[in-house]
Amino acid sequence: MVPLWGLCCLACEPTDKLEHMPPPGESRSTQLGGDPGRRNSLRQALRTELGPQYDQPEVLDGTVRWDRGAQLYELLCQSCHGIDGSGGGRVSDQLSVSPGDLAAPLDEAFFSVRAQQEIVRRGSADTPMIAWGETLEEPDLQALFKYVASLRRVDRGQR
Amino acid sequence: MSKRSARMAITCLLALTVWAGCNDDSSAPLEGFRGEPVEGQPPVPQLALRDQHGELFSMADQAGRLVLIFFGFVHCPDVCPATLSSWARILDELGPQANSVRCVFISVDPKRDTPERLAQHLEIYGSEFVGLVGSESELAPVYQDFGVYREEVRFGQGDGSYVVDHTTTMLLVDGQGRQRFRYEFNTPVDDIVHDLRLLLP
Repeated sequence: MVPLWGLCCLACEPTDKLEHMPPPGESRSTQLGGDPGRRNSLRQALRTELGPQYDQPEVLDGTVRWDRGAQLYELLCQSCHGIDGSGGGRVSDQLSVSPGDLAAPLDEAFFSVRAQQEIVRRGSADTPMIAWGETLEEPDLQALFKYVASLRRVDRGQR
Repeated sequence: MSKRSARMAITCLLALTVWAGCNDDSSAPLEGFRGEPVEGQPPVPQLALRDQHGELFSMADQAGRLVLIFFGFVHCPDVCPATLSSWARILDELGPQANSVRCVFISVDPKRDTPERLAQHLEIYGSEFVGLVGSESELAPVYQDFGVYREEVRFGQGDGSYVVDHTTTMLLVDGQGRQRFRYEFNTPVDDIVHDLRLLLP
């Protein structure tokens, strides 16, 4: 029950109480970076920065272990990106921004493999994607890349 | 009807009119609370920690506001980003009433969660969220006071190669500083919004 002494209308409140409200027409959810415009901007920024390397995945060390990558993926990525990498992990529907599809066939993927690897290293600004380069050692990053590459779907029809 | 009774009746009528005007969801009567009640509604433990902007945060300063408290860490791969996202949705749902709610995220990773890193991270979800950090010795009694479990789980040799297992329950503190409800991870946002609305003035 709302106590009578607590009755009040926001219109009567001082305007400084409104300082944290998002701008009209923009909810907090839309401020979170999930809009296609920001993804496009990120892709463009990576294209510019990486130049020709944008379309060339990192050459992985031959000693990189797939099973180590699988272990790291399960621990750090699977909750959001899902067991198959498609973005349907167990917390994915609760996130402010839908996780990317890491397993999209190469000809359908929004980001190139190299761009995806850079995002794993640096994170994706304004989204929940963490910069795992802050945490993982280089061999572990490469193991993760190797495992993620193995999740990629081959045929369009498999989606 | 005496003059006094008539005056009281008019006052009540006016109050109900104001209430109806301010309550967006007046057509759907709010029922009982949906969170798990905290037995005895004990006062929330006091905090003496700095927020992500270096300001001293005190629970006493939150009197009159509802406070959601969650313990987590920046490099959390699952529960924390989902919870922070849910906070954003909760505040969206509340609309203008969100100004009477504080969301407080207390770090369980004092080694990596610097104020700057926490500020950068919370900004993704909501610039109004409060992030509290401190040294390990400052935070240890906080974990104890709130009954929070946290343990580093290493997965590699590097300094940062660990995640933190931690309590994932969210706590709701009312405007009088009493611990009122707990919410398990995965509690629907609607349930939390429902309870907040019941407690909001």
